[in-house]
Amino acid sequence: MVKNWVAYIIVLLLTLSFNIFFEGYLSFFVLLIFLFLPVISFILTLIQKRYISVAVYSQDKTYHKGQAVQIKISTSNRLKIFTGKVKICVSVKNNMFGTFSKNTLTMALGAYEQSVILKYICNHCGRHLCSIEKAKIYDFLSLFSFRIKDIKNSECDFYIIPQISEITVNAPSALIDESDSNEYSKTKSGDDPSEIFDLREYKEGDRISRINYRLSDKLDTLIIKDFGLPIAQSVLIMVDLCKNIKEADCLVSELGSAINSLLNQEIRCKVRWYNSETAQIAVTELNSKNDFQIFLNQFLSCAKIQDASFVLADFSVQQRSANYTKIFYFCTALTLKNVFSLLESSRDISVYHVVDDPEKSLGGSDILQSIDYNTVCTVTFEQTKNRTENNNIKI
Amino acid sequence: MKHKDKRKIGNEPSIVLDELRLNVAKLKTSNIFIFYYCIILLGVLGSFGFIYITFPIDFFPIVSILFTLIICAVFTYLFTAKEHHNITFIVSLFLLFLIAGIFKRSFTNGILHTMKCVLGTYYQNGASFRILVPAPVISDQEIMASCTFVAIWLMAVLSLLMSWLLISRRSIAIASFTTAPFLFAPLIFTITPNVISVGMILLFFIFLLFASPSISVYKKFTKNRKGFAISSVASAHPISFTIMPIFLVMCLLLSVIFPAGAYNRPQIFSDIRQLIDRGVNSTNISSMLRAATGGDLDTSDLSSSGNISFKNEPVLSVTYSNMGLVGSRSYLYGFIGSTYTGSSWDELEPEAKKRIKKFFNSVDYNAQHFKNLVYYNFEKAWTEESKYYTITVSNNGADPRRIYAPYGLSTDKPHLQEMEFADESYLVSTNETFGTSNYSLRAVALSNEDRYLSLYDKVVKSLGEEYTFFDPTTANSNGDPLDYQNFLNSSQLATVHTLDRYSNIVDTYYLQLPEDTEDVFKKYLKDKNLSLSDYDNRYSFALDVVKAVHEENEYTLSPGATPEGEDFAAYFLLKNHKGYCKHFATATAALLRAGGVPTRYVEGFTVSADDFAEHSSTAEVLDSAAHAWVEIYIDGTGWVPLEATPAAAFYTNTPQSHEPSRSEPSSQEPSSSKEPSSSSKPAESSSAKPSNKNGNAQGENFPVLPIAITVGVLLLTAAAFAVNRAVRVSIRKKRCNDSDKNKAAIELYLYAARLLEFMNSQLKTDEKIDDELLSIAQKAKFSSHTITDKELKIMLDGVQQYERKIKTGLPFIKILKCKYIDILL
Repeated sequence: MVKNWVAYIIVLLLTLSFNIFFEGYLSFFVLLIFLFLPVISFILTLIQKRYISVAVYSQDKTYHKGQAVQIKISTSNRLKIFTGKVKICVSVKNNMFGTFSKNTLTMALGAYEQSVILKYICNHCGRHLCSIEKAKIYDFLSLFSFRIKDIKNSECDFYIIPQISEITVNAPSALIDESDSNEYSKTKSGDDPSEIFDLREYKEGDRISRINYRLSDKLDTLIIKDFGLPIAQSVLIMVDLCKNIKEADCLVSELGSAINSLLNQEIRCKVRWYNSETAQIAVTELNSKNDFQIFLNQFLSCAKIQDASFVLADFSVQQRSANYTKIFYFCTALTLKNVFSLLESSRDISVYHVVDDPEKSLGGSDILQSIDYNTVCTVTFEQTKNRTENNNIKI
Repeated sequence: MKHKDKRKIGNEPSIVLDELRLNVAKLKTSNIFIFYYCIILLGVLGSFGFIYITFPIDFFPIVSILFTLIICAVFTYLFTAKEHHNITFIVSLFLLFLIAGIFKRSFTNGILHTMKCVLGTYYQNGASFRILVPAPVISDQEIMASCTFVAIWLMAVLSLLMSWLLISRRSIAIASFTTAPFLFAPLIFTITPNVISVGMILLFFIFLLFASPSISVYKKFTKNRKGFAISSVASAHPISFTIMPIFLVMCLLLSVIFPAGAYNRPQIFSDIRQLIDRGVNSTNISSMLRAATGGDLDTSDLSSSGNISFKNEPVLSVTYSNMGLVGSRSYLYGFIGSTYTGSSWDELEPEAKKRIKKFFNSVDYNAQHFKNLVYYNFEKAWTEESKYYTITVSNNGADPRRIYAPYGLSTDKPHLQEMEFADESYLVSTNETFGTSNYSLRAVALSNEDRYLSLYDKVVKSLGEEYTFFDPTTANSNGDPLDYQNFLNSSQLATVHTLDRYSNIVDTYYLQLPEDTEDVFKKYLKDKNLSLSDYDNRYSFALDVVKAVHEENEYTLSPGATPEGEDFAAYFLLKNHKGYCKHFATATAALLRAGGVPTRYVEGFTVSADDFAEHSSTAEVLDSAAHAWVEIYIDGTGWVPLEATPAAAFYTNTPQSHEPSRSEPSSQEPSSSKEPSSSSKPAESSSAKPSNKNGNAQGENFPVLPIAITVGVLLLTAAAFAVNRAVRVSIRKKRCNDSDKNKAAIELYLYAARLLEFMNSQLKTDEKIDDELLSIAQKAKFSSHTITDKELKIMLDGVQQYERKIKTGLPFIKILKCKYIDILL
């Protein structure tokens, strides 16, 4: 605006020079007009401002990484007469990692309705909030500006969901056939007579005691009762999003793929993560794919990259007494101390350590090898990339 | 376009702005066409007016404007509706030049005659230079036709340039600059252009300035320092012109609040202007320019002497060694016309020049030295008041190639520095490029008593009282003695002989008149009963001729141009009866020559007592002191100036004291008259403001024209709104009453939706459209069944209900907006 004022003053000086060199009334009249133009411009813009509205919309709610996100900024000028410059400041922020993109759009509005389509490519997962931070209308000479108050929809959000890959997580044997569990497998039969898994025709090798005589009589063929297989839930997943963004983003994909794999194996689990909205450690139970979806939305919205491993620290203090058959720990920053701290809670632990550089891995440590070769699994970006491409790599 | 976020992870940005696109709904080419057509038309017609209305160019205005309208429409259409703009531009430009080439003769004639008019007007408006355009002599009809052709051609080129620059290149600044040559043409010489043209151009510039954010260069989103910018074509809609009445009202208010009549140019502007002028004028470049553009030195073209105005700027500084010798007025001659052609005053014919040169070749003096020669040789003849004096001239603004010299020159030829006699009469600088800006000249001032003595009287007076017995009956017609040889010494005798011989030359060459008009002037004198034989001397006769000219003719600075082919003096004396010093001097000179008095036409400056600051011997001579007069030859004195312009002019509308005093027409040169200089001091009038050709005096009256224009435009705008509404409502009604009821129902639904949208926005409600209306509309759109009359009535009732709500819920102004801008209700 300073530049425009300078330009205006230069124009005024030019009209003054015109006054000096042109003796007639015309030069004076031109000077008057240029003196009063800003006033007219100011008043007109003041009126126009009341008839202008701005809104921002997202075309879809969820997108994959690398997919074009369409944001629409629609404007309306009910007075129809052309305006001066309208400046709209739009920002898109990734809530999880704090990355953002801020753009200023300058345009003029006219008689026709017009909208701006912004296509973003978001390379990291998380909930993104797109908002109109500022909308201003300038007068025709760009000397004054007014804030546009009529912002019908000042923000919208969309999710970039992580790339979930088909992987197989090593499920502990202890998870199966836990007799004191009330949950039963929907895919495998077991020996718990309190739950019938299936009724089927007799096959060679079936136990005689499992024959349902009443049904066999009725159907005139031998029917066998398959009993249910109780399944255990004492699997804990802990997530610590810290260190750098790229590793954390990779970690979210790993987490999603791992949970997906566990649920595919009908292994229910609990996830401990840090909810930055409430500033507390949240524990979410995942029993089904539906739970997983809800968790994912919640996690993408409320989890934030942290400076330290809050989840592990909290677990070390409060939950050490709880016995989990299996603990998965997803992190981007790992120390030997952390590993030993986890081993105190369960002998069966799996640590997924995402690193950008394989040399940072603890997996090759002599001490760790003495405990269990498979305890710490280091995941590099390269591996994640290959898995995304091939979609079937075992960890 | 890619725009990376501020927080990068490695080399990969987290959020990338991949593409920006502007979507504009329902863009209509017709609207864009009308929008640009109106803008371009404003600029083109405004520029047209700056040249063709401001300057007195002969052309067919209606034809030119009609063609301009059509051509402008064609170019605007080509650039709004078609693609390949650059090719269109090049082809169109080529065609225009091809047309100019085909009609080369008309084109050249038109250009030359247009230039002649423009340059002639410059000269009339005080331009220090004169460029003679070699315009061919063709009939008036041909001139008009060729000027019209050039006008149309120029406007076509301007239309093409503007269309290309505004629509295709979106370059508002350059498009504005295309009008610059047209605007500067009158303004550069302080010629106030036609009011309507000024209004149109001002509106054009203001509108472009206001629309610049909308129609400027960014067709697509372009990244700049502050983000992304785009100028949308969404603004190109005729409705934007509703802003025009606001500009007009602003102009009207300004012209009413600050009327032209009350405008007094602040002194500081004049002071700054003078400062700048002097600064610039003191440079060699300025001198060179003045000298190079100064036109011909040996002629004074009368054909272009139309209306004039002055800037009131100092052009000469003249210092007198003896202030007592400066009377009420003295003359400094710069050009002396010897041959009258009917349209100009020129030097003598080469043969005559040769003869006179030969005559003065052996002596150190010239005809302008005669007064000094007589004064020197007959010293006893003079009263004590007649004395020598010196003037020092500093030329700050006049043509530096001319030397402005006083009458009674005594600096003899060998002592003239950096100057020479152009012919036998006036001086020019020997430096043809830069001229001579500073010089001094010596002259003798004769008392009024001495000035008009004949040679006989001067001789007798110088000889003493004992020679008064000398018989005057032997004198010639002018009363000069023929047999004085025995009483004079050799030097005196040589002087008398020279004067005698020169008298013969004077009678031979300075009675010349154009053959075709000589009788006209003689008849004029006869009609007025003016004959030299009825007078004792030439001077008395000359005074009566001047008086006769004054009686019938009116002094004005705006007499209009003399029609081509007319004798300048005859047209003034017999037809126009209006003119200024050039007209009066030429007419007087012609009549005196017709009456037998050797006369010459003179141009130069007058110095009046008012030009001197208090206690200063230096006079600041303004450009408005430029003057024309005549000089008659009187034996014994030489050429004597005679004021031909009426004194009354000086007291009415002349800008400065460049005309004679209230006294009777007389020859007034530096004299040693004891009369107090204040007695005839024209101080009362010297403060009078210059009257400009068109503009300055206009504001003294109530600004009727701006008001009329504003009212007219307002009415037109109102009419445009009314017509727009009438047309669109009639289209809507036609569609709503379509014989296909389904189509009618859909149209009613769309109208209802628009009404609802308007209502919600204005009344801040969030009402949804009635379900029943929606279902009927859906049926009309998607079902194969025809809508029944009952359903259509429901639709109509729904629409009317919305209309009622708007009418009852909104104030009058908003209902007007609803009706005339949104075209609802």
